Amino acid sequence: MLRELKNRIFICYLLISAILVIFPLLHILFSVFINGVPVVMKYGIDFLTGTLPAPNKPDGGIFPAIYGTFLMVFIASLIGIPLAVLAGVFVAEYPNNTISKATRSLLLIMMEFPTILVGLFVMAIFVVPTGSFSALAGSFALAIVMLPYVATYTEQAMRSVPRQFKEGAYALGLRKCRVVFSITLKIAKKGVVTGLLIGMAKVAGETAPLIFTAGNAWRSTGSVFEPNGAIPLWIYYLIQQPYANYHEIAWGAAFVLMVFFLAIFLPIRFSMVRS
Amino acid sequence: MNAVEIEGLRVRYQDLEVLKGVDLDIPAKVCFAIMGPSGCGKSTLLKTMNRLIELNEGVKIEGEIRLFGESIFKVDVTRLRREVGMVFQHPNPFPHMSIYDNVAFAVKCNGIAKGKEIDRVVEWALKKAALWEEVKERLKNKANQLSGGQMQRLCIARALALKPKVLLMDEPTANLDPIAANKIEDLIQELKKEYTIVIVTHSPAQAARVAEYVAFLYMGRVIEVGEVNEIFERPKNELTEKYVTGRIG
Repeated sequence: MLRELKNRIFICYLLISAILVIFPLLHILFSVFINGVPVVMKYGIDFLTGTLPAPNKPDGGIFPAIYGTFLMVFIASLIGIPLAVLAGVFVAEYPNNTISKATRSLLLIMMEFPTILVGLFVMAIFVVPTGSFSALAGSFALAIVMLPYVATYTEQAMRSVPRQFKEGAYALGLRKCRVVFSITLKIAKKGVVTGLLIGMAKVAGETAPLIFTAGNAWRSTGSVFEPNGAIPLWIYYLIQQPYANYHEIAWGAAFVLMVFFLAIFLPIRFSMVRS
Repeated sequence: MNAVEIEGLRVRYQDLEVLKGVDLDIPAKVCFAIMGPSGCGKSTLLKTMNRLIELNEGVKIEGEIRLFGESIFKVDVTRLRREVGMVFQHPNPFPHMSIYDNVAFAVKCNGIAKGKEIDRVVEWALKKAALWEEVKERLKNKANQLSGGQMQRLCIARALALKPKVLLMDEPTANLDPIAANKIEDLIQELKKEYTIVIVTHSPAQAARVAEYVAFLYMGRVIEVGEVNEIFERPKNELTEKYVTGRIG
């Protein structure tokens, strides 16, 4: 009888712990939804296409921030993905090489590295010499943040390709380069693409590395050499303003950011579950 | 001239000596079976013949292997592997490629044919591997939609397309059902008229069915080698007798 009771208490305890762990996430999703959707509904399509209104005027939108986020994620991907995929391939193909071992450890450290320090680093080597915040500097910072995710996913995907396919390819007289890029990387494609998407979703939501690099701008000139806004930057700055409509817009922006993030992330999750 | 001559071959993985001085002469255009219990070094021996063993780190090879009189350690390894095709225990066609591309890919990469000629090589190889009739309508389908036996014949076609002199087979029927395994054995009977086939098997019965010559390998050494009838009917060594009668293995 006592043992049965203990067993039940233990199961209840596990259940409560699990609920406590997912509660904050559900609460975030819920509050962003509850506070964000009415704003987007109220402002209508203008919310996605308009620019920031004057204080206490109930119109306008966050287009410059959406543009900035897309622009910087795009440029960061152009810079980061080729480098990261090649690094992942190298680490996977030469696992016992000293440089490769060091690279693998560094990638893991980079993944946990405070992203604001990445921002400071890019500011020192890029913003200070050029004399201006810019979308390009922001993109560099995001590329650095993205690197370890893409590289690590690429490495794991490459290593999970069964040895028999590589042996089969070498047995046909193919050179290493061919085997790696035409066989192993192609078989590992799904894992690599997952890494790319996770890296992109991660940096689309980053604020810290952009503060000292992209600067921020409420109006965008469209140029990569000028300071630029981004959705998370706008949220960060808008909630510090003393105007009610700016707080509203920040909630709406948070909802848009969440939709972007889930749009990238949920398909990955589902395709992983299916495979 | 012998197709393959092996002299004093020792292969070591780090501290473990897997082959402890192997001498073998493999005549041309026969099926030569290497049989022995698990862990005797037969797959290692096979993978040394196309130097695939060198993919493993920390492998040391001593001794000599000659392919039609030429040392395999002195030729370009990619040329060697074109001339010595290999079929593996697990059928391993490239899953991301079509049936056609599985055969055509290495043909293109190795510059064996170009343009329309590639189509002819693919058809020829698939016919040689007794697969053409089953796949000619669906060459563009993914290779992983084939059955296990068909995949294995696709791998044979892929190797034959490079016009090899020797074909190595590492327990090619170990993962197939009996009907698919029979088809592969029938194919070996056909292919050995034109190619030198070296097959590794842990089944004495299979060795007896497909091979003209048999070598019995045990704990990294060749215990006995000879014509198939001699080995099975009048084995000279006690260990060979025990193995072929199923008392060790």
